[in-house]
Amino acid sequence: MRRYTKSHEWVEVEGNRARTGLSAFAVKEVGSIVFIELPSPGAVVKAGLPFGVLESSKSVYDLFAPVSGTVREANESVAEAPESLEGDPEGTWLTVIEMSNPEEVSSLMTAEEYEAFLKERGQEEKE
Amino acid sequence: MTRLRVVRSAPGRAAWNMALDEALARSPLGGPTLRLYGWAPPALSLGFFQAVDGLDLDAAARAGLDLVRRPTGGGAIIHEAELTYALCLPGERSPGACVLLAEAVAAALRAAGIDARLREGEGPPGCPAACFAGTAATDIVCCPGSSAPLKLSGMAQRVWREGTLVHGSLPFAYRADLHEAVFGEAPRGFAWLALLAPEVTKESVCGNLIEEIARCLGAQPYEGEPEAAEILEAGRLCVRYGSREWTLGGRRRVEVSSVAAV
Repeated sequence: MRRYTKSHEWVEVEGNRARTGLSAFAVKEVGSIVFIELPSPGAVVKAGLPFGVLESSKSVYDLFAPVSGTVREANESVAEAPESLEGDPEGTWLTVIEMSNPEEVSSLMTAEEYEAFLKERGQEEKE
Repeated sequence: MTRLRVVRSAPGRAAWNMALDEALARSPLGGPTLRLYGWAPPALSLGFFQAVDGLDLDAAARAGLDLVRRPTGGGAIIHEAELTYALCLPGERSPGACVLLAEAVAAALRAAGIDARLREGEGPPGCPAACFAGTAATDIVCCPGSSAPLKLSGMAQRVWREGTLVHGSLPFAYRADLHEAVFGEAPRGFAWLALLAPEVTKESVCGNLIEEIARCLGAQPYEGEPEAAEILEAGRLCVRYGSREWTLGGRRRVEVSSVAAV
């Protein structure tokens, strides 16, 4: 089942590994992505802390690790052609993390909860 | 009412300028801050992700330019005779800060009698080596006579979890030979203040900027200095910004272990 963070990353759990990506909302919000840097395989990452960076329209944003663990794979094809992320963000993975604490996933939002979170956030911005 | 701290710094070294901007943007101590500064010696700054291909760094060094990589995006800039402004918004992830600042800068220039406005529409994606050769929706442009838009100022942004930093550069003068030496060709389609309005002083632009940015933020400006803890943090960050290895690393490698220690 797909889960989402408040910082707009998604994870798809496969055994003790989590495939991660960026939500369609986040990709649409940042606009044309010109650079993306992902952690190297072997890097130890902690949930909620920066583990990558992207640049769009001269703005640089941190990417946050959705779960803790060790990066086993980074999608080099996205790093080489970051614009490809814009075509299918929910179907384009960024990293595979071997989780050190799989229980963290249960604290992330389901797709329905994430949708409600985005609606609430949009409402707050209007106010 | 929110307050806007205005820090006017003496011209500083490139690594220190970047380190202090990052410290002010990420530290919760000083609140929203506008820092106005210059560069001594003059410097060539690179965008965060920028590769150094296409830049003649030897020519830059021979011309006495310091070299630094900014935490913000975009292309390279020669900082010589210019006003540099940094809007630091600690505690806020504000992707819209760049647009807000661009509107304030355009208003500040209009108040100085220059017909400045935001560029209509965004240029093609990608980023040329020289910032002033590129186009973005947050460019400040002017159209003297009926000319095509000339870029007067550009902006770039960094959004951290702990805060947002927007950098802007407003050139007062321009040396074509220096730009040609470093970039291979002089950027076209841009202008500088001495060309458009030689009577406008840096001091008057600073005053207008402070007024307009404070207005856009709904904040009361006051003159202030960085806190001791912010200076200490800038000193720590200065080691990284002053590292030639880090600066020339091209596309950034993510420092996961160091980030995790923050």
